[in-house]
Amino acid sequence: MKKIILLFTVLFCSLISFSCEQNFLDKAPGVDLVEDNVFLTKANMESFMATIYRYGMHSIFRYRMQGDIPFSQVNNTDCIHPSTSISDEGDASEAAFVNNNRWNEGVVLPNNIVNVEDFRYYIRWIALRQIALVIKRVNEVPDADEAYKKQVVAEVKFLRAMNYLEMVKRYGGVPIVDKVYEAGVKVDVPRSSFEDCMKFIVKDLDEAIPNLPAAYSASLVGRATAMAAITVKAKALLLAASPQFNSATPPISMTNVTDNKLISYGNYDVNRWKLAADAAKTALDYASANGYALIDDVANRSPKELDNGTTGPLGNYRVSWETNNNKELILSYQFTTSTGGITNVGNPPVTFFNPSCFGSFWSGISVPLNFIRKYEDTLGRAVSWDATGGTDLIAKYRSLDPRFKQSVTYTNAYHSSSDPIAQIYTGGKDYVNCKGGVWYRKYIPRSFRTANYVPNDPILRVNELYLYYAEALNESSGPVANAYTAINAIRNRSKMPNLPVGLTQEQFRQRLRNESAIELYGDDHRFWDIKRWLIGEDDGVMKGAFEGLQITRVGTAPNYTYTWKPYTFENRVFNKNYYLHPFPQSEVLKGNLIQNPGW
Amino acid sequence: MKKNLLIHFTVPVLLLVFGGVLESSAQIAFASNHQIPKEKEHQETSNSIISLLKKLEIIHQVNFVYQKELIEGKTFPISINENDKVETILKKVLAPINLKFKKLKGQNSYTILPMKGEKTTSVQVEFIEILKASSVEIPLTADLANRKTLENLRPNLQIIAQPVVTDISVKGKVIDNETNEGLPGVNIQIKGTKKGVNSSSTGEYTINVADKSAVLVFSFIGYETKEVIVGNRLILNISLKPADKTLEEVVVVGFGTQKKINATGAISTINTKELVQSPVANISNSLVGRMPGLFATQSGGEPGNDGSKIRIRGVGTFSGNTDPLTLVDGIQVDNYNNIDPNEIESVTILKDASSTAVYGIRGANGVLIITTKRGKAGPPKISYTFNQGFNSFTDMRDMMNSADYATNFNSALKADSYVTGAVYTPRYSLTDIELYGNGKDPIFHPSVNWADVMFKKVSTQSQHNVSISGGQNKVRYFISAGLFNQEGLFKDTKDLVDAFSPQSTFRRYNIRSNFNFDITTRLKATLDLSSQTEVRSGNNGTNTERIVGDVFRASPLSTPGVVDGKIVNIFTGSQNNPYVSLLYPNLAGGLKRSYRNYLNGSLRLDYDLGSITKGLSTHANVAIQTYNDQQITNTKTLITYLAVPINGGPINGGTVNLVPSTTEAQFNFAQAGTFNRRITAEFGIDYKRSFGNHNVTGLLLYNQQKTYDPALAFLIPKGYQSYVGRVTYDYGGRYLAEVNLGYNGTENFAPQKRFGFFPAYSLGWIASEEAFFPKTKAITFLKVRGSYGEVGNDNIGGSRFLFRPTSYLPLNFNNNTNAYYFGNVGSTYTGFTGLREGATGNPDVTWERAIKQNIGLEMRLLSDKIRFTGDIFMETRSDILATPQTISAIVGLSQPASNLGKMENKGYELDISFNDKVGNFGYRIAANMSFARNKVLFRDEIPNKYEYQNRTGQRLGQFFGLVADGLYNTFEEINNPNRPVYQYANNKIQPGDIKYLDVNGDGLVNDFDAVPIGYSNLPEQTYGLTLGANYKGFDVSVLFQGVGNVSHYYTRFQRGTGFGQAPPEGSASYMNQSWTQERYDAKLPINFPRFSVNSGPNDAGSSFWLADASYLRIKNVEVGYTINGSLLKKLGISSTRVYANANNLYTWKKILPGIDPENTSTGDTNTEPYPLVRTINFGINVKF
Repeated sequence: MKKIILLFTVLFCSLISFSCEQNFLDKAPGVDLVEDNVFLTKANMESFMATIYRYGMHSIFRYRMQGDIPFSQVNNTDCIHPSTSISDEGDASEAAFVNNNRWNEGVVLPNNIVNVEDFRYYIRWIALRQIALVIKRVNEVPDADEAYKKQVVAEVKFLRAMNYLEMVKRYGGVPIVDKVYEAGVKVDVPRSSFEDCMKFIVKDLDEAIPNLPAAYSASLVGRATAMAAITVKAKALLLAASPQFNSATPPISMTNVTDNKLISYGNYDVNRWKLAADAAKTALDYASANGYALIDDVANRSPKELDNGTTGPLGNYRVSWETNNNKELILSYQFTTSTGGITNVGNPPVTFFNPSCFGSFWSGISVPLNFIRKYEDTLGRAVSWDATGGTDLIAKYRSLDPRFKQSVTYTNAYHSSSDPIAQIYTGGKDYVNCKGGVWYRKYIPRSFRTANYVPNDPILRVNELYLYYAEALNESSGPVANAYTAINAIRNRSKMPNLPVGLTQEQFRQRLRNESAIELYGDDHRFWDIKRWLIGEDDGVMKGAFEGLQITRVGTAPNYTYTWKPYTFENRVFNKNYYLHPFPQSEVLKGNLIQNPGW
Repeated sequence: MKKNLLIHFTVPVLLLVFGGVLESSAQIAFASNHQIPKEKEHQETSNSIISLLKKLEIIHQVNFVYQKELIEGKTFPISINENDKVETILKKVLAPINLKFKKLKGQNSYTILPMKGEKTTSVQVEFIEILKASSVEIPLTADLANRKTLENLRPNLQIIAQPVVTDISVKGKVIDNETNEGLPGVNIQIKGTKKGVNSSSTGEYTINVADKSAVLVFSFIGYETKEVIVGNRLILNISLKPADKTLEEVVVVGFGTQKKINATGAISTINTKELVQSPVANISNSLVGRMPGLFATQSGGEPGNDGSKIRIRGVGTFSGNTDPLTLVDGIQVDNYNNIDPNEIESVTILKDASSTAVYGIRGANGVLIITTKRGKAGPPKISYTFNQGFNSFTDMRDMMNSADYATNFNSALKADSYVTGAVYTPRYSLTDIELYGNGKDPIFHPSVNWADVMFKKVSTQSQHNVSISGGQNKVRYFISAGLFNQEGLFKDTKDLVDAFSPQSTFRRYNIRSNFNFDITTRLKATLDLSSQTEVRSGNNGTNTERIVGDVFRASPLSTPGVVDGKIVNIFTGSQNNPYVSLLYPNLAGGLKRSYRNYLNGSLRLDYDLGSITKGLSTHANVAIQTYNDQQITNTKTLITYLAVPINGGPINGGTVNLVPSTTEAQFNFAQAGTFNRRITAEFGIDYKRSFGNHNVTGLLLYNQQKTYDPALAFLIPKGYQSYVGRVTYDYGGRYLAEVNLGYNGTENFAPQKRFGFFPAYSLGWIASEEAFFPKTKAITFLKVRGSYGEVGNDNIGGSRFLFRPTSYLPLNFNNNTNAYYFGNVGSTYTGFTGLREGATGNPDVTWERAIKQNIGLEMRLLSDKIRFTGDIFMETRSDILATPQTISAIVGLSQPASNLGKMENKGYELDISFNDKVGNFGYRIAANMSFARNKVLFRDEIPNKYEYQNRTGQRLGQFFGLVADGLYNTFEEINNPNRPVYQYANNKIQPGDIKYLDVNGDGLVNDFDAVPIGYSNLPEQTYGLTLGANYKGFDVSVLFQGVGNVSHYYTRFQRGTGFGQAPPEGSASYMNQSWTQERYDAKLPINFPRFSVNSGPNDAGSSFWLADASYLRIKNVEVGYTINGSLLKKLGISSTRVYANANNLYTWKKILPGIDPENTSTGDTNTEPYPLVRTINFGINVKF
């Protein structure tokens, strides 16, 4: 009996000691990292700034932010191509899953806009929340001096302006968010007018410029500088002056006409072009005063491409995008490689747009003949590509603007050391799916070997300022001498002759638009310029027949020649409502956003 | 909190300690009682009431029934005329000693009872009957009113008058009254003493009794207990009657058992016989179709990974976990599928609030309880079972051959060119197609049937189990050991890679020992030890589904597979080569072996506290489970070759050069492991007592559980604390009432929100027990029951500790904590760590709460031949965890999860069976059917533009899509100006495209025309039908199982041609029946829209691709023969059964061929489930 009592006592004492710990149910760990910690030390503040850069900078390659997106709305497998394959710059024909194709098929919808283009829609609002938080609390950082605090505020204001510019060019006026909202509380901030948004952008930039440094130490390259802010201002004012917004009426009216102010100024004012020209001039002057300049080594203006499986000399144009942090770059998203692959992005961009014929890649971008036609010959004349075709493609390519061979991979071109000669002809391995006849290869440097290579992602460059200046001057004052000087600087550094003098304003406009297309090819400008200029509906731009080249190899080794013949590979769709993005359907249904017209 | 706990703990402990003390003092008291010879102290005198009663029995020909203690030694001082009326005498005699009498209905008998308020001194009410001079042994039961034998009794005064003082040796044999066979191990005890013996193996016994009035109690499990007074006899042969199963049947309920007839909850059970009929590794797969209320879906057949997903009464929540709570012998387990079915006595599911409320926050999804077998007193019974099974796939998708594939690819390009405006350029020339068709160029124009190449036709599985059970009165045991072995259906690849085979194999070792100890009459102990060891071997990829996916994804012409023993590709760039997938999956390569071991030990002590108050007992239980998993991976780069034609290749008289694409590398080894443990402790007090017609039971219980798992957030163990209460009451076995209470806590919620109270109430009425109920054979039993209560679910999805305040997190991305880099790449770049806003906290987050209602009807008809149970139920789940959806994204914040959702789930279950026997032929038909339909009531959904597109108000997982109305066949139809404009394919519609309905009539076909179509992928209906028969030694049974109201959306592989993918994928051969002008003109059957590479309207989500996934299966068939011959007996074998059974024998379905209707994959991922297998099995069971 005693044994039994003992047994029970032991059993239950152990049970009690087991459960009568302070609490049987464990305490959740305390939260030791909260908002306050961000502003506790300058070091933490710097971490937070790094995060804001991560979320707040955009990328011309539109990387997947794989596994990094707090919002479940974002499908992180989408949107993996540069905008090149949306416009006449390219065609992503290798894989149906490249969502840029939806634009060409005419199936862009409010409920897929995030996946077909604006994958940063949600991330941008996170960045804006973080920016508002910095402005609200930066003064609390105890070990930061005033200069640092001012610089941080200037940096985030720059990033805010840049993000608003990204939104305005897509949507027109958007809600202005300059504070930190509580969790779980409904927010009904409506869209602001286009004009107010522009003012908000310019105000942020004007406040940021004086407090931003002209340059950083080598280890901080990539942070916002005054040069970057001045450039964004020029870009913003150019957008504001452009036909899309600087007009009495938008391309399509809102259902309620009074809402048109959300997507248009409501009048045309030539002075907006003047402001844009001044801003571009200021930027150019500031650039030359601070060491930014076009890469223009006279010897390398027209490099001789060897086309025999070895690389030729590096041309100026190629240097400007192939070398990291060169003097022409104003601001880049600083992607980095390190041992073992990419440390800063999910999948390296080259994986997505290097053609699969060159290895384990997803979907290359071929360049339609529509765009190739824009390349002048070396004497500055338009080149004809007859419907009947021709017999010597290699010679044809040789006659083109030197920038052609530096931008694309063409028949017999050197692509990379593993594929030294591109076999782009019927039966050649690199021709399958190359509907246009050449492959987009900008940002795939010749030294490239594996998908893990990460190029610089240039967001702002000096060359675009020349073109902004020329365009704004021509629109505000006609083709004046300074406009010629600016555009010829761009042409000359790639050994293209000056534009002929005595062009009318309209002739100059057309030459400038052609020049912008060529010079800024693949830099995430063309798609937006087409919208800004309202030329999307023009035949062959984003609508109508898209042509490629049928290329046939004739003769015997080593004396092959290549015949070519244009053919239509697809008919594209552009609906007038494409000039503005639709807001995501679900966001509109929440009530505070008026949807853009036609969506 | 601390105080509370202390109170809760000290009370039971005090009780226990006191209980112990009381027990010992009580023992002493009793002992002194027993030690004094009663006969000497209470010699009956002439004026003793006992003597008087005996006289009266003779004089008046009446019988008396009484509790001996009441009148033993009592006398009557007054003078009595023994010839007076019996009742007059009794009144006079009994009143002074506070006793009364009652005439027993319809008989000349009287019972003597204490007056009201007078407590009996005895611990147990025992009726003892005055002996008659009959040598017939007399069954004694409490229910004297129904006893007929009394009338036949003849009094014999002489015997009673002469008490015997010396020991008497009584002998006899105990037999079964049906088979007349001796019963071994019957417990024979002298009533009121601890003295007892067991019958021998032949059923014989000898016992010494003190006197003739001694009462022997014969008890044996499964038989009605019998009490016999020794009387004059020295030989007492007893026949025991098997217990009336319907009366004695118990059901497992939360923390205990209940008599089935008294249960008021909705509970279903199946037992071992049905479980072992299915030749499957997993218990979950053998439950399918056998229990009303149980919905099961088996989505794959891979060895070791083929368990079914079990849902009890469907799904009631759209967030978090919908798995039922699973318990083995009262202890929560995470994996029950690895238990050997031969170890299991029964599987029970608890469905309504009444039965699950005691589990509180764990009970809302229902409870599945497995009870293992236990030993019975008797000689050792050895049972050996051997099964040999043969597996093959139930169905396999037939794929297009290369010639068809190439032809169709060209038609796709041609059709698409109409949409894109491109010039049609065929991809495959006529020469290519010819070569694909005639097989003359097998290397560069292959036509590979990958399923044939990669899979075998048949693989084997085998199972051994040996169990031994038995024991004496005080120690009983059940021990069992099992081995299960199963092989997958991939073909051997030894000739390609000799280092390893990535074949999926599964081997399991089961050991269990369950012991029962009766330490004293009051203290009982149970010790259960079990282990399950699993050894798996397979490919080292993310999963086998990816490999199976790749088999059906590979196009027939992309590679010849193996040439000269080498794995070959013929195109560069990314390829789908199933060999590469199998041997080098996801570029991880190689072989993975995993060793999992589950060890479970449980000790339970039961202590009878009858000394405090009768019917009170207490128990304590501690269980420790451990689980560890070791994974060993061996990886090696796979060598593949690129086949390059030399001089035009073999077809032109040239040769083939195989160029290695990869270089040989060394083997790599890695290992990983995990270790989990769980400790459960329980202490409970049970009470069970009858007061006349009032039967009361009570339960108070404390239970705690802690799980340690390295995968848990913050490495904080997961704990539960439960206080459980239950009171049941029945009046006269007719009116039943039950209250169940659960008070549970979990650390998952804020300290002040941790504990929740979950009450449930139920009532029952057994109408057939009423006096007015006609006692006919038509309705032999009728019970109505109902329950209402609340249950919770703390597995609410999201991460743990959502109540914590909003935290900031260091950015961590691909194991790199740097958020951003500044500086020049490769030289001055510097990584900056990041900090970002993390999970937004919600201090109010709490468990889901379900209100469940249930009404049930149980009937037995035609002398119990027909049994029927029907239930209707309704559940409302509120506080479902969800993220607010309607707050604008401009706040830039992931909104905190809140308990905002609401869902309802209702349905019914029917279970009917018919058993009969005609001569030696017995047969049985049983059918069950369950229906459950849920509806999302609230989830803060963003209101859609059109109300009909709202998901709120629909069933969970309701499919939405366009409504397809066949295909367009002519341009005439397409050019009809009334045709709605398609927003798909830029409205470039052509013959062969799907005709969609413009549901909202706006003239456009677009996503706004997507409406609810079909059902969800969880069946709303499930049913099973069992037909069984036995004739002499033969038995046969068939189980049909089916589901209804379920839809399946064909995945990309199943619905498409895969031409648009990079690289192009294979296509099922049924896609040959796609629309082409030729087929249309030839009036050939057309089942699919035109071919397409990627341009067309036909890929939009629509009812065209939504299949009715209902099916009816011959789930199980078994034929057996039991040999019971005397020859076997000479060999020491008591019985042998040989049988053959089969699983998944045949399926009637409406889905496309080669797709299993239980395949629940919905996404267009790159995976496909490993197909289900059909098992044909032969087995033998030998009992010694």
